[in-house]
Amino acid sequence: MPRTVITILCVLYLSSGQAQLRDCWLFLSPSTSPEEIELSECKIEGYSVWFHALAVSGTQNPSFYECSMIDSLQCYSTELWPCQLSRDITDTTIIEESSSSFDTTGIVSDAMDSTWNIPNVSDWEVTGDVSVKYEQLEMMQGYDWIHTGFNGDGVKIAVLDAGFEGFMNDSAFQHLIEAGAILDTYDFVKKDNNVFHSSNHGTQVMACLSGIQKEEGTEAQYLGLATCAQYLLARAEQSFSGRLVKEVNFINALEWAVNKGAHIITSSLIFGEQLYTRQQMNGKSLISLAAEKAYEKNVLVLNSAGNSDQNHWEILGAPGDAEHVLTIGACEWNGLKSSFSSVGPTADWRPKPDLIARGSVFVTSNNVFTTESGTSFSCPLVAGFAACVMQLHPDWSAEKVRSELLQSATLFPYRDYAHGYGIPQAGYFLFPSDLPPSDSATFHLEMMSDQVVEVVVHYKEVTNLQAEDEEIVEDPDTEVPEDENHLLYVQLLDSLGRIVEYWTVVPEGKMGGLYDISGVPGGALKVYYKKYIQQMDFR
Amino acid sequence: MSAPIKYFFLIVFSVLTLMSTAQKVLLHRKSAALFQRNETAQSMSNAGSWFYTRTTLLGSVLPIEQSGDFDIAYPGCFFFGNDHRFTRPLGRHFSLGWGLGFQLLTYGIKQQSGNILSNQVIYKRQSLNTYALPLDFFVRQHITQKSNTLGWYWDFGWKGCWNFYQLLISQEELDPSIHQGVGRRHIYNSRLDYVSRWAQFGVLRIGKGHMAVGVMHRFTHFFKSSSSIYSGQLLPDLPRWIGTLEFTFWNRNKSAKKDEDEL
Repeated sequence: MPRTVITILCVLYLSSGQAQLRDCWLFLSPSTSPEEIELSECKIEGYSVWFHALAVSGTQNPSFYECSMIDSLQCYSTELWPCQLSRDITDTTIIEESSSSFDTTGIVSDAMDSTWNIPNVSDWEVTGDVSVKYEQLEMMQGYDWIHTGFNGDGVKIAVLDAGFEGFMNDSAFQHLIEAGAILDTYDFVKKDNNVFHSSNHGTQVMACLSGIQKEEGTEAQYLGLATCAQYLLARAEQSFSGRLVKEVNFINALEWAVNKGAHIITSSLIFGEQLYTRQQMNGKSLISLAAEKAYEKNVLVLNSAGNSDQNHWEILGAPGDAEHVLTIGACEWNGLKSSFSSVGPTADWRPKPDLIARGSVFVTSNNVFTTESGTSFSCPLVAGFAACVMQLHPDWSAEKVRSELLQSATLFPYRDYAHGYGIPQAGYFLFPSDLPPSDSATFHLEMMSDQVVEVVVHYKEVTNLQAEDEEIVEDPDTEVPEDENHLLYVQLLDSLGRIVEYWTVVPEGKMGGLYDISGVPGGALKVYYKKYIQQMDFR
Repeated sequence: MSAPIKYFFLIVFSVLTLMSTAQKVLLHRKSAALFQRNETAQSMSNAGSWFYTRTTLLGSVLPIEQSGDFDIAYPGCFFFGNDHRFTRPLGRHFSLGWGLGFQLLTYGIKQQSGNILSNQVIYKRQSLNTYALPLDFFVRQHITQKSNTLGWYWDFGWKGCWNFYQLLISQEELDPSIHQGVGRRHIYNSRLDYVSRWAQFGVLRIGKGHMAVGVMHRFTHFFKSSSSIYSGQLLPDLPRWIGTLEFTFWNRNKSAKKDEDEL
C-alpha cells in the first residue's frame, strides 16, 4: 500500500514539470471583439470595457502570442507584475459615456416629504457607545449640513462593498427603501441583482452614509449625511477569491457605477496586503487605473485607506494609491490618526491619505446599533459629506469638489502621511466668512545647534470667539495650560520634499519638542499648530 | 551632604525638570524605510515553488470502534503534532504536498481485571505514549481555486511514522496498609518491545485558511508480537481513528521571496 501511494505521488510530481500558472489581463487590439476569443486550458474570468481586456486565469501557456485567434494580442501578467505595458492603457477609449452633470431633481426628498415614516425604534436593539454617533458627524461639522437642510438630495452614490446583508430589513434604511432611493443593485461575484447577503459590512457602510436612528420621543439621529441621496449598491468582492477575480469584479463594478450615472463612488474595499507588494502601491495597478478612469468621467471616487498600520503591511492599498482618488483614513476623537489606520505615502512617494474622519463610529446592521472601527466607516462619512457639497454646488465638477474638500480640511495646507489634510469641515462651504484667521504665529522655531531645532509654543488666549471684535491675548512667556489639547504637527522633509519623518505631539509648557535635522541635509522642518504653519529650510 | 548624594539629587532634579517641560509624543513615524523591504505579493497560485507552512495539530483518539480487549479511557487520550509542510501546485485545482514533523500519541487505558498490560495489577490510570517522527505525502484539492491555504481546500494522503520512543505510564494508589501513608505511585516502562516501531496512516482533512479539521486512520497494527508479553501472541489492537484540529501558519514574505527572485 505505501509503495503504491509513493509511486502515485512521484508520478504526479514528475508529471507536473515546471508548469507556470498565469493570471493575466489580455489587452485586445481595438479591432478584436472579446466574443471572438476562445482560450483552451484556461478560464476567462471577465472582461473590462474600459481597458478592452480579458481577465484570464490558470493558463499554463506562458506566451499568449501562441493563441492564434488573437490578433495583436498584448499580455499583461499579474503574476509577473510589475511589467511594462506594451501600450499605454491610460489612453484607452472609454466605450460608454456617463452623464457629467448632477441630477438634482430631488426625487428622494420629494418622496420623503410625503412618505417618510421614520419608524419607531422601541424594538431596536442598541449596543455600544451611543455617544459616538454624535462625534462621527460633528467632527466634520456635519450637523451644520443637517441644520441647513443639506442631505445629499439628488446625488447618486455608488457603494462598492462585500455585501449588504440585512439592509432591506433594517429600520435605519426604510426611508431610502420607501422612497425608492436604491436605484439599482448588482452582485459582480454571483452575477445577479441580489446584493443583500454574504456580508453585513456594506450595510454598516451604508449606515455611515444614510442611516437614521429614531428613538421614541426624540428627533431622528443621523448616522450619515447623505440621507436623501440615491444609491447604487454593488457587491464587488468575495473573500478568498484570487487577485485576478478581485480585480475583475472591482473594475466591472466601477464601470457599472459610472454607466449608471453615479456622481460619487465610495468603496471600503482595500486591495493591498496578500494581493500586491507594497512597491506596487504606486497607482499603476489596474484597480487604481480604473478608479482614475472613473474620476476622468467626472465621478468623485473615495476609498478607505485600510486598517493595516499595526501589521506588517502598514501602508494604504489600492485604489487608494490612485492620484485623484480621495483616500480616507481614520482618526480618534482628538483628530489623531487611529492606531489601525494605514499610512502613506504611495510607493512613488505621493502623499496619501487625503482626508481623515472618525474611525470609531455608530453603525447599524439587522436593527442592531453598535460601534465599529475602521477606515471602512470613515470613508462613507466623507462620501456623505461630499454629497452635501455636491448638493450645495451642483455645478461643480468632481475635480472641483475634490479640490475644495481638501481645502476645507482642518490641517490644510499642511499634510502628512497619517492625517492627510485632516478632517473636512462643513463651515468652509456653508459659512466661509467665519473662517478663523491663520496668519498669526502660534509658535516659533529656534536653531539650538546645526543639528537640532526647537519648537517653542506661544500661548494664546482667544476670547469672545463669536464676536467680530475677538481679542487675542498673547504672551510668549506664558506656558500652555494643561487643558489645551491642540495637537502640534511636525515633519522633516528631505531635499526632494518627501516627508521622511513626522510627529504629532501635545505641547506641554512651551515645549513643542527638539527635532534632529542632521539626517536631512538640504531638507526642511515644517510645523503646524493652531492653523499656523512655518517651514525652516536647511540650505 | 556627600558628593554621591549631591549628584543623585542633581540628576533627579534634571530629569524631573525635563519631564515637566517635555512635549507628549502621540505619533512618530519614519517613512524612509517603508518601501525598502525586499518583498513581493503573495502569489495566489504559487506556481513552480514550494509553499512552506507550519502546522500544529491537536486531537484525540476517536471512539468510533471497539478496541478488542482494551478498554480505552477516551478522556485520557491525546494527540499532538507539529508539522513542517510544503505544497506545490499541480494546476488550478490540485497541489502536491509533503511534510516532516513530530507527533505524540497517548492512549488512556482503563483498567479491568485480567488486563494484559498490567501483569494482573489493577492500576488507577494507565497511558501508553508513542513519540514519533512522521513523514507525510498528500494531494490537496483547492475548493477555492488558485490558492495555497488561503481558501477552502481538502487533503488526502499518507503518513508514515517512526516511533522512536514508547512509554507506558501506570499510576496506582498506595495502600496505607502496605505502604507508609496514602499517595500515588507512577511506574514508567519505556522502550517497549511489543509496540511497533513503524506506523502508517491515511490522512484526510478539510481546511480554510489557517484552520483545518482532519482524521487519520492507522493502517498498521499498533503492537507487534513479543515473547516477553502475552505468551508471544499479538496484543489486541488499539483504536485506529484519530481526529485532529490543525492550526497552520506561514510567513508570507519568505514564501513569496522566491517569486521575486524569479522576476
